[in-house]
Amino acid sequence: MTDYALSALSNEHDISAFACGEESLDRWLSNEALAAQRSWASRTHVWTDSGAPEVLAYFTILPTTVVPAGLSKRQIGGGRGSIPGYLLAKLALHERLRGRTPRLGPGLLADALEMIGTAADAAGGRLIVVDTLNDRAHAFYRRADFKPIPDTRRLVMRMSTARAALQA
Amino acid sequence: MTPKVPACRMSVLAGAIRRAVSEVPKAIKRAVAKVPKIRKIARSARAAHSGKFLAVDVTTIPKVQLIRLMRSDAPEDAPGLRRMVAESRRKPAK
Repeated sequence: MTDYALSALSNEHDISAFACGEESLDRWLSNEALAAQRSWASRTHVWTDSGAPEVLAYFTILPTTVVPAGLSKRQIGGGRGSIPGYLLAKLALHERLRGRTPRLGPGLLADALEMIGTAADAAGGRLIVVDTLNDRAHAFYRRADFKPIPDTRRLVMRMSTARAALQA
Repeated sequence: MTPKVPACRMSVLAGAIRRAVSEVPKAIKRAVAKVPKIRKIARSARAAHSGKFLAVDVTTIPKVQLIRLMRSDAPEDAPGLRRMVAESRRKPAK
């Protein structure tokens, strides 16, 4: 949705200079993202400037199941047991891209939700889940209408809601 | 008489008929308004109520879980996300 090129993380990408201000997210990208990708545990997608290998932003997604505790009936959807969905496990923007107008965080989130939607088209999945690291991230997802699960740092959005907003 | 519909539609039909019989026409209107996919089936339910469609033995059909699932799948309004998506479609300043 932006002018940055979106692609799956590979050895060709330069992740050495990535810094988003949250150390755990930087460490994940440099130490674990590729290994998780190779083992099919998750998929990391990155933004780069066209033609350049340097990673400017990334998000990591993986299928998950969500226990219904704390979810509303609409979120559960009449099923029984765990609810299939996708975990938006990481989402980070290089510090250099902060403060731009328009803001790039929403674009990265939109790309992540598009990618999750594509996966859901093939494999289903009712919910999109995020576990926020801090209050700032929590507020970001709240602004995007993710619903918090009480007494946790977890937020959820139904796939149908995300799809409708992306197609609006 | 058993209608010739796929099994997955049977529970939808059962739910629609049950509502139709107890609440016609309100339930049908609600079903039609909320779940476009069952519009056709709701019409059949209305026909069933009027005697044009021979009744299904509802007691033999499992729960109406599917109709609940379909109803609960209507998207919620997400103005915040819509704003973000619109913002992301604006040309970024590099």
